[in-house]
Amino acid sequence: MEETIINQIEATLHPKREKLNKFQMVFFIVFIFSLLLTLVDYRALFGLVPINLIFVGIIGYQRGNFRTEAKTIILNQVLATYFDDITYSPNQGLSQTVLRNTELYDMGNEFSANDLIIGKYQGIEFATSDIHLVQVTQNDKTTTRTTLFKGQWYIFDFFKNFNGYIQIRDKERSLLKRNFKPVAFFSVHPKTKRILMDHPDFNRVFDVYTSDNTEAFYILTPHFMDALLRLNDIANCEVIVGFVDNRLHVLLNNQRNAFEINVFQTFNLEKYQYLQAESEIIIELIDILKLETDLFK
Amino acid sequence: MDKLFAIITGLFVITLISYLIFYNRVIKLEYRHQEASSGIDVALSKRFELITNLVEVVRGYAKHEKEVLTIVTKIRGSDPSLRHDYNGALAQSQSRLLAIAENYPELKASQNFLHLQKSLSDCEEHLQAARRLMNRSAAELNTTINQFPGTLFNKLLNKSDKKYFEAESSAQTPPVIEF
Repeated sequence: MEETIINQIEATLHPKREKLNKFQMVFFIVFIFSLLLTLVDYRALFGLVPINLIFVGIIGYQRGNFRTEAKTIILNQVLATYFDDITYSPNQGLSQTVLRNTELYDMGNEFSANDLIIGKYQGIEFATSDIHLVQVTQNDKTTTRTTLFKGQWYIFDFFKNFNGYIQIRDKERSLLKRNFKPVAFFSVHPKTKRILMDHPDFNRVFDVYTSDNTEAFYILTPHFMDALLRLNDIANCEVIVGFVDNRLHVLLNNQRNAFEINVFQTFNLEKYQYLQAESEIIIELIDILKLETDLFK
Repeated sequence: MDKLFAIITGLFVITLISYLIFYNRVIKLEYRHQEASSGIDVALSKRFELITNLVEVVRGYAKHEKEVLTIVTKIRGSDPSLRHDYNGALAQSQSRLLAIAENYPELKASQNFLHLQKSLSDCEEHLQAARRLMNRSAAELNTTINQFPGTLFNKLLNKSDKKYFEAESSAQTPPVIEF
C-alpha cells in the first residue's frame, strides 16, 4: 500500500522534477559561460547580467510552481488514505475574518496562512491550516516583529448544539498578554466571565470563559475535560479551545508548520511516514475529543 | 491614646470592608446557586415533556401494554417540587418505557422514537450539567461561609449550608439506550 502510493507519486513527480533540473543545469552552464566571457571582456557584463537575471526569475517562478504542484499531488494522495472529501490547497489558509471573529487569539497586525486542508473523518467535517500571527511594532528607527502565534488552527463540527460562547485557555503555557480580553467590548459575542469547573485538575491547567455557565457545564463534561487534559499533555504547547457558532476550534501554538517536505528531493518512505504522522494528529484530535459521536445531532 | 484610637479605627474599618466583601460574595454566590437550581427545573420540565411524548409514541405501538398507563399515572402523580423524587420517578419511567420498546421492533425503528431517544440523552446531559453546576455553586457558597473569616461574619448573616443535588439512583446507572 505505502509502496504503491510512493511509486505513484514518484511516477508523476519524477519527470517534472527532471525537467526542472535540466532547466537549472542550462542556467548553470549559461552562468559559467557568462563568467568566462566577463573575464575575457568586462563589457560583456552589460549584456549578460540581464540575461542571467531573467533566468533567475524564470527558475524561481518554475520552482514555486513545482513546489505547489508537487505538494498538492503528494498531500492529496496521502490525505485521501485517511480522510473523505479531502481538499488540500498549499497556498490558501483559513479565512482571517473567520478566525478574527472567533476572538480566540490576539490576531496582531500581520496574518499569514497556508496549507489549508478541508475534509471529513468518520463523518466529522474539519478544516485546518498553518497560521502565523505577528505583531509588528515600529519605533523611530527600528521595526520589531513579535510572533504571537505559529502553529495549527483546527475547526471541527461539534456534536452538541449550543448558542453561547466558550473559550478555554492554557494557563501555564499562555503566550498571550495578561491583559488580552477573551471577548472585546464591542463584540458580536456575548460578554463572558471566568468560571471554575468541577474538575480541580482541569482548573489548574485551564481558564474557562463563558457567556453561559450551564452551557459550559453541558459541553465540558468530566470526560471531555479529561480529554482536554490529555490533549494538553500530548500537544506539549499552548492549547486554546473555543466553542463558537456550533463549531469547535482547537489552536496548537507549537511554533512550527505542519506538512513541510522538501519536494525537490525524491519522495521516499521517510517523507511518507512523516506525512502520515502529521495526518494522524488530526485523527488523534478527533479520537481524543471523541467528536465522532452523532448522538446529539 | 491617639495611636490606640487610630489602631482601633483601622481594625474596625478593615473588619467592615472584609464584611462587605464577604456579604457581596455570599449574595453573588446565592444568586448563582439559584440560577443553577432553576437550570435543573428547566431540564426536569424538558425531560417530563419528552417522556410524555415518548409515552404517546410507545402507546401507538404497544396499545395493550397496561404498564404504559401505570407509567403515565406515576409521572402525572409525582410532585415536581420534590425535585429528587420527581427526577427519580421520571428516570424510572423513562427506563421502563425503553424496556417496553425493546419488545416492539417497529417502534424501535420508527423515526419518532429514535429522535426522542436522542433528545432524551441530550436532556440527560443538560440535567447532569445543571446538577454539576448547582453542586459547584453550593460547594463555593458552603466553603465561603465555613472558612475563616466567613465563619465569624456568617454569625451576622446566618446563612446555612446549601444542599447538594445528588444524582438519582437510576441515574447513577443510566438507562440503557440502544441505537
